[in-house]
Amino acid sequence: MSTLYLTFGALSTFLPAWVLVSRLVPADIPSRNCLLGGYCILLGMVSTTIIMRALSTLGIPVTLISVASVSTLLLLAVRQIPLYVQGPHKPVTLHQSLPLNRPEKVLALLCLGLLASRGIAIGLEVYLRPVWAWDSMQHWTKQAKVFFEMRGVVPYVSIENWLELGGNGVYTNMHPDYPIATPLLQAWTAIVLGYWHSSLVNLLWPAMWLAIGLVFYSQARVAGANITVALAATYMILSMPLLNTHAALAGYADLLMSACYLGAVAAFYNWSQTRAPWLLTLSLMTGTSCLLIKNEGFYWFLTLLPGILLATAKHRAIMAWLAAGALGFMVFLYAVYPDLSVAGHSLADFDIFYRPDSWIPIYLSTLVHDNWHLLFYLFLATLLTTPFLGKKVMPILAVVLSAVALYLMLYVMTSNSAGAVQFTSLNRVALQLAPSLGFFTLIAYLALSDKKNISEAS
Amino acid sequence: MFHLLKYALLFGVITTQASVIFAKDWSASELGVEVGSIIAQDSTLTVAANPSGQILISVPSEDFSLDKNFKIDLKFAEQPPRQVFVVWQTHLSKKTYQQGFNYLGEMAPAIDMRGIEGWSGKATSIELGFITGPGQKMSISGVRLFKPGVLDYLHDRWADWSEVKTWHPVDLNMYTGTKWNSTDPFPAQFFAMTGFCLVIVYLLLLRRRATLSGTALIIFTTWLALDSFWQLKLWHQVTKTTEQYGSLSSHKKVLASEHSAYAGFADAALPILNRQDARIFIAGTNDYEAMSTAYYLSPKNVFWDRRGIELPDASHIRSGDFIVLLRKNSVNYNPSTSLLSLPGNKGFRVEERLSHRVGTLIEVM
Repeated sequence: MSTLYLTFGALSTFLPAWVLVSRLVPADIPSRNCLLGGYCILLGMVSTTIIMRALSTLGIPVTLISVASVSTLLLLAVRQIPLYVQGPHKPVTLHQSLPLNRPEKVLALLCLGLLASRGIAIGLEVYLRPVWAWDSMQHWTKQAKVFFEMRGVVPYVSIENWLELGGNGVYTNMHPDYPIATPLLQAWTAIVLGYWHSSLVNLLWPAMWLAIGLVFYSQARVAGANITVALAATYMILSMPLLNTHAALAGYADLLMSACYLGAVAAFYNWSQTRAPWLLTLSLMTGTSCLLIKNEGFYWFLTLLPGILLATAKHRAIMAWLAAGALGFMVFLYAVYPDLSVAGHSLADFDIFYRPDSWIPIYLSTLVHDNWHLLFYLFLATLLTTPFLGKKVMPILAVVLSAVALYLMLYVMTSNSAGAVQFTSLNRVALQLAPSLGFFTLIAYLALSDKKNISEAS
Repeated sequence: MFHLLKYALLFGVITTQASVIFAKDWSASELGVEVGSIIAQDSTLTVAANPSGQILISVPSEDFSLDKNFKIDLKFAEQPPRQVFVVWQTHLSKKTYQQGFNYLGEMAPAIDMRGIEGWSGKATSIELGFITGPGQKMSISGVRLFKPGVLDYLHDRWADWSEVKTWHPVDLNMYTGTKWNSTDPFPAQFFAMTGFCLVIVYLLLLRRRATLSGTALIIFTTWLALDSFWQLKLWHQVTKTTEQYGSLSSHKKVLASEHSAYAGFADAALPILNRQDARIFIAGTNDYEAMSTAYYLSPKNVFWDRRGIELPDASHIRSGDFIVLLRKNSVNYNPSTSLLSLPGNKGFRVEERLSHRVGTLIEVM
């Protein structure tokens, strides 16, 4: 019976998103089904949490039937979207027309085998292990139990407010201002099952891991990687230990954030090359999804702006003025409204000053410990090659460097440095960026390959 | 560059130091017992701890030239103690040094004496102390003092990199790739340098014939080699998880987990907390205990202020509230008078509703 409910729940969650994405994405895109699969998992999960919020706001209990009904309406609505919204765009340079030679086929099969092994291991771990991770128990899953019990979203307030209100109709935890997408996903899984299952509530975490792979692979193919290169790079990203750990010991929000940010950055890059509206749509949809997952999603979403500016601004002077204006605005806000709260934190909370103690943990986490295998070595090597990459990677470079700069700012300049020095949040936040940095590294590799091929041909 | 130099030095050492340079082995029959009582001494030495849970054994007395690279291997025959101490007396100053190590029940711990204060010059005695339960037995089959050679070094690195640990909460924050987090070099460093060297060699050998895809293949292979350690660890962990939870129902999984005590407490407490408007305050000074209890009592309306107040002012407490007093708490509660004192009042009359090894559930009357 549970399998039947889960199937029904999965259809309610993913089918409208699948139809929506399939209406947007042209039919001749390489690895189209992977692309549809990846984005439909991400958008399906995020849109389900929005439906749950909307139902709760209207006072309608969140049940399998109520969510499925809204999903059906959504399905009917998205079917009205015209097929393949096209715009003036140039075709991307694709390598996949070249047939794979035998070693490439062997390598592709090896990667598929390794990925299957990893996926099974993660799936078994999630299927067997009850909710276990610290923050999940302290925060997210505890909240999910309440949402499940109440069949809807209930207000969470600060400890002080809870005491003032006598706990009447309100609940409290350490971070009542955090976005609630993660607990809603666990509550939704329990609602689909019809009961609270100590391990199955985490079933969507392997799906997030899978979504990272599908998005990475398909966008790499759109960017021009052949099957073997795209698969090898996807294996490398999906094998990173900390990413695997967050999928296996499910319950944290960082993996979903990581997947959505990758969805935004990868689609953005391909849009910057083709100007195809569907890619910008996917980028903005997954980018705005970041806002619903964690507070820092707001800042990651902002990192897309320099790239969009760089891709669209015709004159450098305009761009420089816009960048200077943005910086000036930030300084103005900090000087005049230090208590202004943005994404859950005021500038005064950040207590901005230079904290050199964070550099050693950052170095250890990225280049010494095995959190990311060799990703940061490759990323740094890639940054050294940027002068040779040409203009086409500049927009994604602007996005990635903005994200890295914000990450470093967070730990070197703000009160969050404690999270670095104690090795607590440092790698969890890095996880949110890591697949996107990997995608940029792959893009740089493809750009260098293109240059080499062109120079050899001439 | 620093790492490159380090590996060059390491390979230099390999050529000159092929095996163990110094080793001193003592069998169980050669060991003396200073604290504790001997139960048997033949191929293994079995000792019962004193009433304080202490055991002290000594190796035959001689002048030891201490080298900073020395290691001490211990071989236990049965469940080993959790804590080991090395105690030694220096020749000149006659000063006694002591250093403790936690080996969490390893059967054959290798104690690394590098960087230990006082471990230099000559020593007149070396003793090994163990902390275990009062009267508890400990069996040891041999002690080895040695200066490791390259093979030992490689063996240690292999053991460190491939050693499997079960999941720990900190794994969600970091993964070093090693068993002992402070050991250098780490696998990521080593494989990064190896990959770098291979790429350089490839470029030097093939020069203009070298291709970008060839370089990428080297990097991919290096990644694959590094990942093989992690892949094996992950599967080993899955095996452990299957042993622990396989075929159990949802609730039995929780009872089979490390949180079973808290889940058991919640099972006993929830029927008592059956009022819709029940408010439950968690009072405890240990974050882990309080967090676990709050989680398993959820979806009840639970108050837990991590790093803040254990219980709020008396003005916020009302009749009918439930309070969980965890084992470790600093709340002023007197069970004999059934009075709970909070800042701002003389004392609430409370009724004990549940007593459990996790804590006590009381209701404010």
